Amino acid sequence: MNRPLDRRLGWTWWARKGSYMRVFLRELSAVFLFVEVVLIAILFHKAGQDATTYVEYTNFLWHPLMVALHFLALAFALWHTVTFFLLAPSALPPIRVVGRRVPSFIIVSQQFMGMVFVSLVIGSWIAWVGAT
Amino acid sequence: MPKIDHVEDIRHDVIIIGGGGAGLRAAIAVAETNPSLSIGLVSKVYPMRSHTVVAEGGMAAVAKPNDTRDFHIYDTISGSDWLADQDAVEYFVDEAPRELIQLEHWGCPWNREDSGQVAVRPFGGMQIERTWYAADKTGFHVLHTLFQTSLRFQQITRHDEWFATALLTADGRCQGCVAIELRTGEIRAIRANAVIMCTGGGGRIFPFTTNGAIKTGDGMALAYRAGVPLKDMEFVQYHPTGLPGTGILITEASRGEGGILLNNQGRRYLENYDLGSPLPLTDPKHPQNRTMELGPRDRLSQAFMHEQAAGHTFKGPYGDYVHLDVRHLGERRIDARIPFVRELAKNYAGIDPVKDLIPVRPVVHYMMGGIDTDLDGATALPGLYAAGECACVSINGANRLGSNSLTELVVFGARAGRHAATVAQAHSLTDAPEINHQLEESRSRISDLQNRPKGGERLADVRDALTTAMEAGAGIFRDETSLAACCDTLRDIRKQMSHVSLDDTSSVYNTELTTALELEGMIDIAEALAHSARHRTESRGSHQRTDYVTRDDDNFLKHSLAFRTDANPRIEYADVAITHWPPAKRTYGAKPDQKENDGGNQ
Amino acid sequence: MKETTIQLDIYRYRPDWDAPGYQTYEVPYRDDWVVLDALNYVKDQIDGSLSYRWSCRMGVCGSCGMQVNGEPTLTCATFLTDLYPGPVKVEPLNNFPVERDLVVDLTSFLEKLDHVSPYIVRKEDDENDLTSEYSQTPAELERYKQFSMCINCMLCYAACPVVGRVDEFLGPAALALAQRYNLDSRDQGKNQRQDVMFQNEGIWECTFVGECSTVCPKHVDPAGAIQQAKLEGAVDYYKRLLTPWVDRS
Repeated sequence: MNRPLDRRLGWTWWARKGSYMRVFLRELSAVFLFVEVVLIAILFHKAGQDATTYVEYTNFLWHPLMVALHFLALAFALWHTVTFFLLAPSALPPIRVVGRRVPSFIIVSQQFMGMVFVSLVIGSWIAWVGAT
Repeated sequence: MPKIDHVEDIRHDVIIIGGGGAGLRAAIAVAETNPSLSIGLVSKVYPMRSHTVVAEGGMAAVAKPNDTRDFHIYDTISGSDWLADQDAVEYFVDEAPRELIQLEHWGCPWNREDSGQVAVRPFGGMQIERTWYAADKTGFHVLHTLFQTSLRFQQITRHDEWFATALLTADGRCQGCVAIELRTGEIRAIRANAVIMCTGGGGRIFPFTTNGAIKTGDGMALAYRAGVPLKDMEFVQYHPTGLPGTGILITEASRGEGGILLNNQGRRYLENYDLGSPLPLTDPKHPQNRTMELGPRDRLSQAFMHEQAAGHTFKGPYGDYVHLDVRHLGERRIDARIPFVRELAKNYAGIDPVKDLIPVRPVVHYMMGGIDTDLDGATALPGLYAAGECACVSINGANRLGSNSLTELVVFGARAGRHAATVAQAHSLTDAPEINHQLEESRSRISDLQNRPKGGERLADVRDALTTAMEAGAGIFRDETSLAACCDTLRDIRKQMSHVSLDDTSSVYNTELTTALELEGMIDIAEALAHSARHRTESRGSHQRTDYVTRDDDNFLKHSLAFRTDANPRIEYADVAITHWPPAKRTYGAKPDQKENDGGNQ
Repeated sequence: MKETTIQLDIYRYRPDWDAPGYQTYEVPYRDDWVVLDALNYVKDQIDGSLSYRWSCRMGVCGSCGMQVNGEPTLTCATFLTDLYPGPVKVEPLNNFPVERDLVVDLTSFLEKLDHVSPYIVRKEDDENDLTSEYSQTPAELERYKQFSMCINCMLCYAACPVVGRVDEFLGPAALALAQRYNLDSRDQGKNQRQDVMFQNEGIWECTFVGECSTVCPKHVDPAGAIQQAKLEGAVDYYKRLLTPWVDRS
């Protein structure tokens, strides 16, 4: 009797090709973002305690290895953002304005513009708080 | 070695062999007629691979207020060069609109007018536009609609990738078939009280064809071997616009939208062939129905042959060709109405039809002939039905109009299904010893084929010999010499086939074995074709003889019936059913005069 | 004069073997040949025991999907000129069990297709009223048309890593077809289809890798269909949560 040969993907599927690897990294970014969120949550918690605890913690956050982690997390966040923005037109049902379908590049560019705008607003606020 | 397994027969009330448009429609019709019946759908490929999928242009049915049933009937009968059975055509035209609306209700994405109603386009040989279409992939959408709808019916059991090798008969009735389960190589009997053959045509007996690999006329051969005659086999349609070499179909819809044919002098040569006068491309009345490029397919293909003889065609590596020009339609219209044509031309001809001319030539496309049936799809063998291209009712006669074939699938698929359902419930399966004998016979025939000593003929060589002989002997133009030579060659090819040996000894998914069985069937139907053609000493529709150039209604207003014998096929004749349209001159290029009757001159 | 040739390394497997192997064939190199032409040459002239599926050779029947140099593709639409000088590796579609040589077992797909009720469902009993068509404007046709173009070639299943890892995942084509019917203005079966689509092995298993849409030869964009279904599903969930009294049957 014949046996059809089974060919499932192993756990190293993400190494098979470039496009799989890029998606894997996109998903992996969530781990780094989670770590950063936890670090920031702890920061808020420490901020509510005495000054020594707070300064110890901020010094810890400034440790070269931690700084490397922060930059890595930023890189992953940007990677996730860029891939997400580029995929957005596919994920949305076709949007029609005056009967014609809105082209993908408008959806993508509007997201980037939005991100830049929000970053400027928040950046300015942080700078203003820091200055005063 | 094919596995000889003494496993129980598979049993159904009705089986349908072939899972294309006709087969699926028949299956649904059986289920709707009597939901308690068990239905088996036996197909050598998964249903969505059936050749219906390739059809592009559309399906004809009277739909708009400016159209009448009489117009559609007249177009079809005159298109058939008066060989169609008029009672069948009347039924076909009357049922067509309902069937197409049924498809629409089942989800077929017909193109629409702004009002929300179905849109229609002009097509060859039709005086009024009545071809419903789904972009230029109508067959694809119809097939998938039917297949997906069939999933609703639990009574339909599919036997996907089972290859039918013989019909089972006992007590003078057809009682099922023998089939190989490709996955395992097991050869089993599939029993039923009614069998509906929906296996399609056999264009692959010719070398250049729009037809895919599976169009090998299997069902026609099975019925033929069971004693059922094949009707009107000599009528083979060449589609005027196929790509040279591959034979890939460029739909008639490209001409329906206004495309024109040009020879090597850049002229619309069809004006020289009694197809009316060309209108300027900017004229809103272009393209004019039943005129020029919207003439019937047989006349257009024959015009090409004349142009070739006169040296007005381009020479190419795969034979001569002319140009199809759709540039004047503009990119927008092309992308909206014939996007698939653009894709095919780019991929397989290397040109963009928005800017360049498409190279085209006539290629074999459809067989008007097939298993002889009545209006119910019933054959001479009780219990055996046939519908679709493998059958010949006949509504297409000597030449089929484009977009009538897809409609034929559903109209007669449904009717055959309904009739088979009522017949099946009136009978019960018998355990006749002849059935087991036939099953064993099938099994030994196949194992003999597989056990032939190595080093014999190669399948491909036999197939090449067959297709070469058919093109040379029974092409667009034939005569006694070419047909006699063809008949003789076919006898030699049959001998050659008996010496074929196979490389593949496995029982699992052995496609070399199925190719060999298909080839045996192809030789059968090729013989029926060649002999029927040789006996018909007249020219009518797509059967054109250079030695008998006129239509001869006195002697040949009849259907040919080819019966299989151990020697040459025996050819008999049957009358054509005439109801209200006496034979007349077949004219194109002007509004048809339905009162004209001069005895049927070309 | 020696004809130019190209080398094909073709996956071979027979069920009585323990492991598959590769067989090398030298075929003529013609600039208008596709991989399918090369396979047909092998079967006709060199080795009749090579098994594979094909039919229409024009990219619409969906039979001839295989991995060519590691990518799922229709062999009738993959030109040798793009692969020259080779060698060309031809393997059966990924993520499906192999029956024999280049033939894979498609049963799982057909079962999944069945699950999503891929047909028009009507509440009103008007299906047998054949006096006139249901009205559908060109705009309404546009909404689902793209998703109706699927030829069931399974390249998307071969490309999707989730299909390769999770047996029960319904997969791109089945979900795109489900969405096609959901978006068809004539259909009234969205609820029953969404019950299936919103299960774990439905749309939520998809992680938007997007390879399915990349390899689709008919530009169906199944990834888009699934993400749109996810959006709809999420919105629908909150609607039900916030306004449970509304009749949504």
